[in-house]
This record gives sequence, structure tokens and C-alpha cells, in this order.
Amino acid sequence: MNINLQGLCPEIIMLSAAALVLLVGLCPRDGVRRSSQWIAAISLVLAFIAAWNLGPIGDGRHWTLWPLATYDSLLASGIGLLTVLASWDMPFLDDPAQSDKAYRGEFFAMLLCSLAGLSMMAKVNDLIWLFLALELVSIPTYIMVAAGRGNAAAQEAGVKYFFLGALSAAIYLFGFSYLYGFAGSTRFTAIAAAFHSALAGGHLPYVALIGLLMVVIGISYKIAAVPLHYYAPDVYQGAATPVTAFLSFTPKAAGFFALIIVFNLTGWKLSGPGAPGHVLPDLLMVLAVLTMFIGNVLALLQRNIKRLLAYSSIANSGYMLVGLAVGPVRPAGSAINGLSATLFYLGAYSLMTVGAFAALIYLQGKTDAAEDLDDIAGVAGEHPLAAASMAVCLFSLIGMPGTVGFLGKLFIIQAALAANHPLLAVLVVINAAIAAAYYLRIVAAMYLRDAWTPFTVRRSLAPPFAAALATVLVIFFGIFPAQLFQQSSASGQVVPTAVISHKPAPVPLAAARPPAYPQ
Amino acid sequence: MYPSWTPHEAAIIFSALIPAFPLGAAIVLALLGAKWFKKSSHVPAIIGVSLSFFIALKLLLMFQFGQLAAPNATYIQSDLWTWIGAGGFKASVGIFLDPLSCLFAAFVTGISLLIFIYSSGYMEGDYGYFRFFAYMSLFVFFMTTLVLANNFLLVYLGWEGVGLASYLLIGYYYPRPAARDAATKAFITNRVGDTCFAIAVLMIYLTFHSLKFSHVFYGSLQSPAFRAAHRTVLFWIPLLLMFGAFAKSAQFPLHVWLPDAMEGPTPVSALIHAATMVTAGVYLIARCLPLFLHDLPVLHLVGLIGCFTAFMAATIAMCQYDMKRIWAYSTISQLGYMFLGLGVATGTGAVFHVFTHAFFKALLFLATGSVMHAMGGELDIRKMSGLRKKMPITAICILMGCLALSGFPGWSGFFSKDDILSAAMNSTWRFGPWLAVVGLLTALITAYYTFRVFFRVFTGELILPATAGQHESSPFFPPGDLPGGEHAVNHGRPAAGDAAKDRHAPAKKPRSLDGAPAMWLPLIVLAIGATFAGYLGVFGSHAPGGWIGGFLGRVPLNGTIRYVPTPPAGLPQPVGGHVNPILIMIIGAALAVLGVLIAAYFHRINRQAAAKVAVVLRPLVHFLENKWYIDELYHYTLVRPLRFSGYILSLMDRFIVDGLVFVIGFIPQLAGFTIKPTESGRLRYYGIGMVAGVAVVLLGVLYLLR
Repeated sequence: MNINLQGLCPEIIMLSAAALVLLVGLCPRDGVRRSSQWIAAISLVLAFIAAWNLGPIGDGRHWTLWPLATYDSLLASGIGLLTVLASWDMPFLDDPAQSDKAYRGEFFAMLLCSLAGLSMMAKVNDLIWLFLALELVSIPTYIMVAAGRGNAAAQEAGVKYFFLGALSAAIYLFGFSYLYGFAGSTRFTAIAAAFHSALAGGHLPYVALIGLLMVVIGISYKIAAVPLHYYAPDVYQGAATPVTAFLSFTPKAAGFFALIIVFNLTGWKLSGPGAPGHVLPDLLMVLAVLTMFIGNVLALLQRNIKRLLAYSSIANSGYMLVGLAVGPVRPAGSAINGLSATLFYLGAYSLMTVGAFAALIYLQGKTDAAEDLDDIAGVAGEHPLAAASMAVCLFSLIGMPGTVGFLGKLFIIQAALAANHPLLAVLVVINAAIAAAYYLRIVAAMYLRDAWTPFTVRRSLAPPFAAALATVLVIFFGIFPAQLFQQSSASGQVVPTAVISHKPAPVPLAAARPPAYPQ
Repeated sequence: MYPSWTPHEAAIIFSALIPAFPLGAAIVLALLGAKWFKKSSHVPAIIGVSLSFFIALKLLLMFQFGQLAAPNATYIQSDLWTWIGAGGFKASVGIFLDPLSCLFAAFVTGISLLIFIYSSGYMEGDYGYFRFFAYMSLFVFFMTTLVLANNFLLVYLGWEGVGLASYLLIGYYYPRPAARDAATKAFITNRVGDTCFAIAVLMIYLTFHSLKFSHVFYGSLQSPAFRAAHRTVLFWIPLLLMFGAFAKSAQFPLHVWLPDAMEGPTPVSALIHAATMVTAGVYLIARCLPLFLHDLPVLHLVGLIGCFTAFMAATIAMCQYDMKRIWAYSTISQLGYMFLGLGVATGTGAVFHVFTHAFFKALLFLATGSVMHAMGGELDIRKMSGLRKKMPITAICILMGCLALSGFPGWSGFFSKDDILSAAMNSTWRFGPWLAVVGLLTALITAYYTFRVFFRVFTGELILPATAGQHESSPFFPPGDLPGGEHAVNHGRPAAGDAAKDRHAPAKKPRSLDGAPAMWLPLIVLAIGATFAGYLGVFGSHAPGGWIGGFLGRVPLNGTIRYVPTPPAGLPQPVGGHVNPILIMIIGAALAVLGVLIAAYFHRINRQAAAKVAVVLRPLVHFLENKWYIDELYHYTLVRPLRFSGYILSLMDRFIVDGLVFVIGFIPQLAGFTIKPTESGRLRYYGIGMVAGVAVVLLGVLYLLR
């Protein structure tokens, strides 16, 4: 067997760094312990470089989704770096004397483990591996929520997140077991082949259908979508803000990659006229619409910014589910398919939401207290740059032209229209309009109202730097989207039928070449 | 220079820096001006524009000495990057270099540089000093973008940007209602033209499937079959472009914004009238002459309206009393000449007149600014006299400007105006000679009103207005509310002057009122330019039109921009005979001298006579003082009806649309309140909710599949 570790380079870097950080965090000297964040950040930069140079692994007989895996690793390390910068001063503890001693090593080690799990997500070739990767993402986040901040709210959030997370894991593990029962193997190649023959025969057994359903529902917890979205506001609010930023990105990205991989097993043949499994894409559409509406409508009622962004995170999952439901079917003449639109939106969403949280972390100050809209009223006067970067990220979430969020929504809508689902497109537009109301409320509070209390911003430079970086990227990709578009659309093209048919033909690189950005 | 670049690549890359430097200065000033630069805000602006000027000059010389001439290329152009790419549509940011764009870039940046230097003295101590220079740099950025662009969309960007920058600068003293109104008026009037231009751009894209000059002018337009197939469109495109140009270049009937634009600081007026803004329209039509030449009626319309505007504005200028307003109308009139020149297809003459006009009009405005500066904001020519004794440098400079503007023989305006008029007289178009006659009459009026100002203000016995030597009251701070000493509006120089003696008794009394060197040095440079720039159109080349003609013809635009002696076959053949240009030159010179003499009689020798004549001609004077009642015409035919319909629409908006929006906005909120109780925060309820959700989905799917 040809063991080639080159493809796992980013994960190896992250996990080694996690081990190192764990050791460093135990060092008695405070100065050494303080290097934890630096190690984490540097390792993520290295992982990003490694992911950038990632080539196809092996000889093509293995399950390989190259562009997707590359995109996954790039997101994990790139956006991961932003979250590390945003959580530079973690963990927050109530006792200031204690704050520099406790848990720092553990916190950043957990963070790196979680990112490594995310980075591994698109490279797995076995249901067991998929489950392990999902849990590698999730379990550290339970700890981060609880340990991130020394107050009761964080403990409560941690416990809630853990129990409900375990419940959801049970649900998708149940689904995995049915898929195993259907195919008789946990290998992806075998499952894909089983789906291939079943769908070619025009009949999909209930066991496979229920398996897929349970996986979808279970993973909807990770992406905070209906029906398992309940936890998000409480956990987002209870966790320390940097952890919230992390939660809004990592589990969600992991969930979407997992869903794409699982649906890839079916060869995306479920939808279409007369297809036996069409109920599943239809269900995804229903869930997408429900998720969008519930997220946006409930966000309208919030005054707490973190809760508001939690609902916004739910709503954004809805948009991405639209793309997923449409799938990679690409009508002639359209440069966009649903999958690439979802992946583009995932990158865009990660940038803008982490940017908004990073700006919020800066504005919240040492106490981590400012959470209400009133607390940031009039902040633009004293901190124009932080307010501006927050405003840009929020405008991007609204979908203003010139920001990456606009292109994200545009591609989703284009994909829905191209796949002949005009109603979905209209619903996305309506939701975007509803969403504008609550995002603008934050902007209005910052710019149009007078300050109630003097602000004590966080002294550390890293969170504002993260906010500025994210803001610049939001605008940059909004104007020059070619790079992000190529990465995401290349990832969205992959349907490795060669692998499904068990032929040892390698996935030709030419097939995986990204389509050019439409000129 | 990087060794592997060819001269062409180097030229393209360096010319891209021409707009980049002012933009950089504008960004730096916008971000750091308020805190870091403050009173030295002119430094980055001047550095930026002078770098641009030197690059433009270098490009000009490269063209002049043939370093960029390729065997069969009449221009060089290149895309820098793709700006918008959507499906089949592609717009890029790119550079188009030919003698026309080079000449424009050079004089725009050159004149702007002088105006910037002047402003550093004129605006000293003003509140918002950095803001002023940021806007000015932005103005130059957009203008150079417009001039150097290689496609219509980028020209449109510069076009809109120039409008934006002029809005910001005219409204610079925004606490003044007049300034705000003038800015709004300029912007809205320009919108009319911009809309026409935008439609023209769209039509060009639909017709030619490209927006690039190289493609539009040198592609399928050359084929007669194509022109025959697109006859209608090729009529509308030039017509709409013409309206766009008329709004920006203040031609009748869209000229109304320019006289009001003097509400901005005086250097802004100089910039708008001389270097940027108004010349954009001339540039656009000169650039698009190939399109116009294939539809002569539109081109003739350009000439007709230009001629009429020249005459109308000159008559209005005779009866105004505000110096800046007189120069504003003279600009409109001179722009009319330029469009007259374009109308008879002498692109060279028009561009030559733009070039000389830039010098003398910048000079006149800046010198007027010096007068305003010294007189405490007073510009009424009835209230001052004999300033020659107090402001000798300004007086000499303004005399040079007046001589050039009036077309006095030997000064620059004489040669360029003569170029246009002799082209009109020899035009193949039947009405060309008539336009030339009106143009000659206008030249007489021009000489009169120009020297009316000069003799009134600078000669005779010394009379100073009461405000002379004072600070102009700041629009930003009401009197008595000055935060610290230095914030009075525009003058760092201590108060001085005879009339100020009895009010403030200044300790120091400078001998002249010419102002700081930063103010009179640019005046001298401009005076030299205004005097001698005309000789560039006579000497310097063997080609007709002197150096300018030779230069613009050097990389030939294939008869597109030069005078066309015979129209293309199938069009009306010439009826006019050949009139010797020397004859027209002599007539023009005689009329200019006559105008100066009339002005000298009425305003230097016998000032009472002017008042008597005004009494005799009272209705005419009223008509002219009220600017042909065009503003009133607009007020009653456009503004009032629009305001009324706006009122009706706002009622509809308030009661019908807002009501709907309120109801629609209320539904999600109501929905939110009904869902909210399900999100209670208890763990076990969440667990139940999740399991219930799973159950619902599973049962639902199985029910559907039953």
C-alpha cells in the first residue's frame, strides 16, 4: 500500500502545533506560555501554504476530491488564522490575576485540533473517518465554550452545547449505520457503487433513504439549520465572543463539507424527473426555506448583538442550503452551479462573519460585556476604523454590491434560477431584504446614535487586525472575486464517477481544472 | 525604467501613473489630512499633481520626437486590468495614448499644478484646508482618467467623477445656502447630460459590441455597409454624446450651472473653467469626431449651438457687475467658440483654443481671486477702481489675460480664435460663413466686455470698497464665534489696506496688495503662457496650424480630427468660396482693437457716458442683466411643475407606499413573536424539540413516499 502523507500536510502541521501548544501552555514561565498564540498563528500560516501547494494524492484508486479538499484546507487554515487572531487574549476569566495563567495552552490546542478536523473533512474516504473528523471538529468546541470564559453563562452554554451535540452525533451516526447496512461497507467507494447501481435500477431502498435523512438532520445541528437550530442563540450568547466567532465558522463549514461529501456518494442523481430519491433534494429545499425565514425573522427581535448574529448565522445556513439543494447540475451556458455557489458563499460568509465578530471583540473591551445594541451606540465617533470594518462586514452580510456577500447571494440566486427554481430565488431575495433590517440596526446604532457609556476597547492589536484583514478581503473579493471563484467553482465541479465505477483510472487533473472566471 | 519594457509599455505604465498620483494624494489627505497634514495639506497634493505633470510632459515629448511612433499605429492603447467581467460583457481599465490625450493630460496637470500652488496661498488658514486639497486632487484624478481612458465606460467613470468633484468643491462653503444651491444646480444640470451620455454609451455597446475607442473608431465604422445598416443609431449616438458634452461644457440650454459655480472658492472656479470639467465636453466631441463626421447634421447642430452660445454669453457678460460672473459667461462664450470649431470639423482649432483658453482663463480667475482676496470678498466692479496702483503685479497679469481673451493681435487668444473662424469661413457647410460672421461680431463684444472690467477696476482714480483688506467672513463660523485666531475664512496674510486703516488700524501695512508669492508667482507663469501660447499654433512646424497642428496631425487621426476639406462623397458639396485666412485675421484684429477702444472710451475716458447709454438702452440692459431670463424660464417651465408633481408623489409615497411597507414590515415581527416562545432556553425542551424535529421530518418524508 502506498502511504503518502503529503496530502495530509496541513493537518499534520496543525496537530503537531496543537501538541506543542499544549506543552508550552504547561510551562511555569509566563513569557513562554504567552507564545501559545504565536505558535498557533504561525502553524496556521504554514498550513495555509501547505494547502496552497496541495496536489493530488496517490494513484487515483482512492477517494479523492481534490479541489474540494484543497478549498477545505485553505478555508480551515485561512479563516482559522483570523479566528486565532480574534481570540488572541483568550481565555477570558473573571479574575484578572488569574487570566494569564490558566488554560491558554489548552484553549489554543483545542482550537487547532478543531481546525485540523475541519481541514481533514474533505479528504476522508470512509464513513468512520467522516465521523471521526466531525467529532474532531466538535469535541474541542464543547471544551472551548465552557473554558473560554469563567462565568456561569459560559458553563451553561458549554453543557447545553455538549448534550445537544451528543444528541445530534447520535442521529447522524444512526444514519451512518443505515448507510453501512445499505452498502455493506463503510468505504466510500463501496457506498457510491451501491448508490450507483440502485439509482441505475430506478429504485432506492428505504434503508438508504432513511440513512441519508438521518445524516442530513444530524448534520443540520453542525450548520445550525432547521430542525436542530435551537441551541445556536443560547450557545452563541453564552460563549465568550471569540469562541462565538469560532463557532460561527468551524462547525458550520465542517457540516457543509460533510453534507457535500455524503451527497457526493449518491452521485447527485437524486433529483431530476422520475429519480427515486427526489424527496431528499425537495426536503433540503424545504429546510433551506424554513431556516432562512426562522433565522431572519427571529433575528429581527433581538437586541443582543451576539444573539442577533447567531440568528444571522442560522439564516446564512439557509442560503447555503439552497445551493446544496440545487446541487451541481449545471445547465449549459451557466458558469455557476449550486454547489460552487454554496462553497463560494461559505468562504464569503466565513470572512464577513468572523470580521464582524472580530470588530465586536475589539469594541467589547476587557470585560467582554458589551453585547447589547445600546452598548455600542455611537461607537463610530470614538473608534471610526473598528466601526467601519464592522459596518463593511455587515453590509456584506446584507449583500451590498462591491462586497463579497453580494456576489455570494448573486451566485446562489443564479444557481437557483439556472436549475429552474425561481421560487427559491425569490425567497432568497425576500430574506435578504428582511435581513437588511437587523444588520442595518447595528450600523445605525454605531453611527446614528449618541454614546451612552465611555468605551474601553481591548488593548490587544490582534482582534482589530483580524477585523481589518477580513474587511479588506471582503472588499477585495467583492471586486476581484476571480481567485475565490476559481477555488470554489473547481470544488463544485467534482463528481468522481471514475471512482464510483471502480475503474483504476485516475481523476484527470484537467477535469478538475477550475473553469475560468467569466470574463 | 525597467530594461525589458519597450517604450510603448513604459509609456502605458507611466501614463497610468498620471491619474494615480492625484488619487494617492486625495486618499492620503482624506485619511490623514485632518490629523497629520493640517496646514501643510497642500504638500501631498502639489507633489502628486507635479509628478503627474512631469510624466505627461515626458509623454508629450516622446510623441513629439517620434519615440512612440510605430509604422502603422495612429495611437497606442492597452488594457491594464479587467474592471468588470460579466458573461460576454467586458469592461477594462486601460490607457489610450495619442497626441490628443497627451496634450490634454499635459495641460490639465500643468494648469492644475499652478492652481494648486496658488491655492496654497489663497486658501491658507481656511477651515477644512485638507478637505479642499483632497477634493482638488480628486478632481484632477477624475479628469486625467477621463482623458486617458481607452473605452467609453471608463470615460463615463471620469465624467461622473468630475461631476462629483465639482459638486463637492462648488459646495465647499456648505454652510452658505447659495453654495449648496449652486452645487445642487451644477450636479442636477450635469445629470441631464450624464444621462444622455450613459444612453449613448449603451447604444455604442449594442451597436459595436465593444466600448473601446480602438474598436469603435477604427473598426466597423470604416465600412460603408455597416454605416448604412446602422443609420438611425449612428444619428442618435452623436446627438446624445452632444447633449452630454453640452451639459459638462455649459452650452445652451444647459449652461445655467456654470455662472453659479463661482460660489466655490476662486481656485475651484479656475480649475473648473480652465483645466478640468468644462474642457471635458470639448475633449469628448474631439475624441468622437469620427462618429460625428459620419453624421454631419449633428455636427452642424454642434456648431450652431456653439455659435449661439458664444454670442448669447458674450452679450450677457457685457451687463454683469460681478467679476467672477463676467469671467464665467466669458468661459461659456469661449466654449461656444470651441464647439463652433468642432462644428466645422476643425478639431485642431478647437483643441488649440482649449489650450490657449486654459492659460488665460486660469490667469483671469486667479488674478480675480487675488482681487477678491485683497478686497475682502468684494467683486462688484462698480465699487472699485484704480487698483493698478495697489496691485501692480496682478494688474499687469490680468492685462495679459484680458488681451489674450479679447483676441488682441499678438496674444494667444487671437491665433486660436482666428483658426476657428477662418475654418468656419472656409467650411464646406453652407452656413459656415454665417457662423464665422457671428463669431467675428462676438469677438468685438468679447473685447468690449473684457476691457470694460480692466478699465473699470484697474485704471482711473483709486477707489477701494469698504471691505478692502479685511478677512472675508467665514461661512463656517459666524462672526464672533471664531474658535481661535486663525480660522477666518481664507487669508493668512494680516489685514492690510488703506480702507482698513480706520477700522482695525493694522500694525503692518504691506506696500502692495498682490498677496503672497505663492499667489503671484503662478500668475506670472500663466501670464507668460497666455501671452505666448498662441505662437505654438503658428510656428514650430511646417504643417498648417503650427506646432499644435503638426503635433495633433503627427500621429494622424486620419482626417478625423483635422479640418476636412471635402466631405465624403454623397454629402452636400461646398458652396462657400475660399476666403484668405489672412483677411479674417485682419478683420478679427481690427474688431478686437475696436472693442478695446470702445471699452476705453466708456470706462476709462468718459465713464458717465456709459451710464447715459445704459439709460437709453434700458430694456436691452435689463434683458442682458437678467441673463436672457433663462433661469426664470427654467423656473416656470421645469422647476415649478416638477415641484408640484413631487408634492403629489410624496403624498402618495407617504400614505400608500409607506402604509404597505409598514404592513409588510410588521408581518415578520408578528411572526417572530409567535415563534419566540419555542426558544425558551431550557435544555430538555431543546432536546425534545430536536427529537420532535427529527420525527416530523422522518414521518413527513415517509408519508410522502408511501
